[in-house]
Amino acid sequence: MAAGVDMARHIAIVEDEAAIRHNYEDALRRYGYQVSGYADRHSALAALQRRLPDLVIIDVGLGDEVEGGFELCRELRSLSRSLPIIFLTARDSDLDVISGLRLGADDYLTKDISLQHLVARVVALFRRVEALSGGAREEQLLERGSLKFSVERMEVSWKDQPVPLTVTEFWLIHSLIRHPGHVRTRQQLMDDANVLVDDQTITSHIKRIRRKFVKVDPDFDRLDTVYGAGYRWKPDPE
Amino acid sequence: MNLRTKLAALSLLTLLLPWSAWKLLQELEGFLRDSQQQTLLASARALASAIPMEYSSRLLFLPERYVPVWELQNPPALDGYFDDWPGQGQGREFVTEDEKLSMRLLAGNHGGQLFMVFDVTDLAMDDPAASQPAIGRPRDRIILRTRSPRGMFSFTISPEAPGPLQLSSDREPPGQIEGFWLDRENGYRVELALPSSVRNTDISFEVQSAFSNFGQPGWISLEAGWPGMSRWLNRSGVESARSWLVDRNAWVLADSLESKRGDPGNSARGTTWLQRLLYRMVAGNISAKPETWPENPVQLDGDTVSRSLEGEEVISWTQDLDTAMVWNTVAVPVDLQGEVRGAVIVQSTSDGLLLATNRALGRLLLTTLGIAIGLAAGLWFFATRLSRRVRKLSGAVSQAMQDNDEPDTLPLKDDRDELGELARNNQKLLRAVADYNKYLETLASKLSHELKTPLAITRSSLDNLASRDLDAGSRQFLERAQQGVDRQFAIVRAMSEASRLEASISVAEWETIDLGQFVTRCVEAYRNIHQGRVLRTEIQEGGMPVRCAPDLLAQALDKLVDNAVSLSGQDDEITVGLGFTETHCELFVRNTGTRLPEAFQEQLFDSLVSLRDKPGKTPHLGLGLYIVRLIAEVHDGTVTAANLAGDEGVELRISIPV
Repeated sequence: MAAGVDMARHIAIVEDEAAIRHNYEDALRRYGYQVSGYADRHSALAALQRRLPDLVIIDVGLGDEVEGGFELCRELRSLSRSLPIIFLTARDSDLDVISGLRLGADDYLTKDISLQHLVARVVALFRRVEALSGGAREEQLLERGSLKFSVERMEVSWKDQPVPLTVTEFWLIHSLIRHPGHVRTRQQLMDDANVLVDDQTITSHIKRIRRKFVKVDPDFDRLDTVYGAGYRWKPDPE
Repeated sequence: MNLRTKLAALSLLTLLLPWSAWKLLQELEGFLRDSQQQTLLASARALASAIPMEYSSRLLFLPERYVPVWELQNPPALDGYFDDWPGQGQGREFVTEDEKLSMRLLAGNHGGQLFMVFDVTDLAMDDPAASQPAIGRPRDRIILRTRSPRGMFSFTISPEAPGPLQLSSDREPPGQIEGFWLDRENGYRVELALPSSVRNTDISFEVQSAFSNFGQPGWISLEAGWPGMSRWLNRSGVESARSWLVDRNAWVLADSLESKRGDPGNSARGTTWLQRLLYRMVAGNISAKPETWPENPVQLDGDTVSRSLEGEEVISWTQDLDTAMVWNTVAVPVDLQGEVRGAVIVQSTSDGLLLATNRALGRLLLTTLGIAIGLAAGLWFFATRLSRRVRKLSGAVSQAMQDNDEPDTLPLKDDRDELGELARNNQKLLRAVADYNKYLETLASKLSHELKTPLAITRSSLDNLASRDLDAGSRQFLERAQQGVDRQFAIVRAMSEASRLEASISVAEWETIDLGQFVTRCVEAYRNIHQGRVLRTEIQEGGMPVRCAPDLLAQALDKLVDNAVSLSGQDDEITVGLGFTETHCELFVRNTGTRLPEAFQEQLFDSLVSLRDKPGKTPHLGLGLYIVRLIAEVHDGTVTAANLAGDEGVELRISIPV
């Protein structure tokens, strides 16, 4: 699968574990991307300052720097506000930090992800970037009451206010609002969002999504937990 | 036997102290007694051997038969009663051969007058013959003759009726005496006053009654007391003792007390029962049968005196049980010309306990007793305190172990003694155990973190390999390897579940919900998931809404149901229930078909403890029930597992305070 543009998209991978880095590089190259790999924060920053790539995948733990990835992310954000960044982590405890998006990451993956999933995420993220920058194509817009949902741009707004969701969270909401009022089991959500994690992680995702909506609207109550089963999107009262 | 009892028993040993003091006292008392009696004996010997010549010769030539005459302090009233006589009527006895008629004769001297009492007992009076009319039979009478330098007199005493008498001599020279006749049961008594000096007076008498006669053929001399000898005894004897000189018949010839009459001497003081008891305990019973003599005896009877008159030196202790008075009596024979002519008796009277007169010793006794009691009380107090402290520490330690928790501070931790050290060491131990538990709890998540990177390498390598052109055989191997990696990832995820849970606990949403509805909805979902299994609900009606974190509770219930499903067979029933007590609401999951091993029930809810004996399809790390415990603890509740009565199965129960 080619990127579909004249110049191959450039992806930078910052990962201290050489074997993983090389494997990811190989896989992404096979899909037609131009890939550069960096083993530590300094070499990566030096190279990326010269020329920004189209997407960066950063491991949180870089060698001796346990949170070197976060530091690098901050530095890259200062270079470019729009550079898409994906975090890669082995630790569960990092997820909360990343998901708060305080660091400006666009998505995050745990290291147990398969390569197909990795590529799917990368593709999804590029699509969002494309939609945001191009804007030429007609938007496929879903509306559920106060919710506006743009599949093309991967943007969600609630009561006309944008809700900053990650790609994973976007697909989870997408899965829920396609059948408002119906319970989606965790397994169904996992399949739809193209993530392979356990129930507990789905629960955490849903919670984060709920928090993001509540931040926009304190009275938000559409994301309903059906204990023992899954979740559903409550349709508008009328 | 607990510590306190042991120490209390040990403290009994201190009673040895007063006991040994007691023994010492007894010994001392014995010693004092011994020395007293030695003093008395020595004194008696000295008296016996040093009787002045005048008296020793009198003793030597004392007539075989004589009637002692007492120096009377006051003239006795002529009334036939003994109460104004010394010795309460002790007198010389004369008895007929058939013992039917007997007489006691007392004589006394006062102011140049001789007083005599004839006390006649006529047993024949009881004879039936006596009640016969006494016509012609001789009347009761006494014929008394006296012989003195003034001449010989003879009186016939035979009054018409009892009462005062005036008698005249039967023949020349004329003389007159006064008297009194008193009839008494079985006899009569005649008290006479004769105007005659005692010295050189002899008497003889005849007693006649209806049936028998009593004659005294020879003359009997009257022997007056020896006041000089009495004075000598008083002078020479032991200060606090009383001494007597007695003749061969134990008649008192001299009495040291006589010379100092009016001196109260040693009279028994009133003693309390406590003193008497104390006395008896220290000294033991000396002699239960005291030899009591009248205050002014005229004849000393009893074993002590009679043995000494046989030539023996006798020492005796007697005691009055009521007053705790003790008499120490020593009798030494008086040997004159190779024959026992009399005896010297020395008697000392004292308050029972010689020691009691010694204040220092009494105080010693009291002090040792007091110290022993104080010591025992101190030991008991110490033991109580020690035992209470040990119990407190042990309770705190066992509580800390039960809570599986590091205690903030153990009691006694700051104490400086061994118990404080024990407490400190216990605290270290508990801390080490707590650290170890914490390590175990975090081990899984640390391991999962460490394992993820190498697993990611394997998986990404396999994924890359899969995109190559492979022959069918290689692809088969590849698929197997990928399956293996998937399972390893599943394990790793399960391992980090507990730590993820801890993270999610901190952001859990608390709501007040109807748990009945909650359980019903959960069970509906479980029925979808576990199709083909029998899932029942058992919900107690009327429960109050409970404030809880439903997400977490649902997760705990998931684990319990998963556990029940995987442990039981396809046909076994699973019951999910809700019950309320006054203070708690209880969620429980029961399943038939399994039993918990007895040994590990308490550890069941610890991290990494799995009691499953057969390996299942999915890996089992023993984290599920640990997560249930964490969730129960977040709700301040507890989780317990128990085998149901009979062989009904297993019940796991989460109990949350309302």
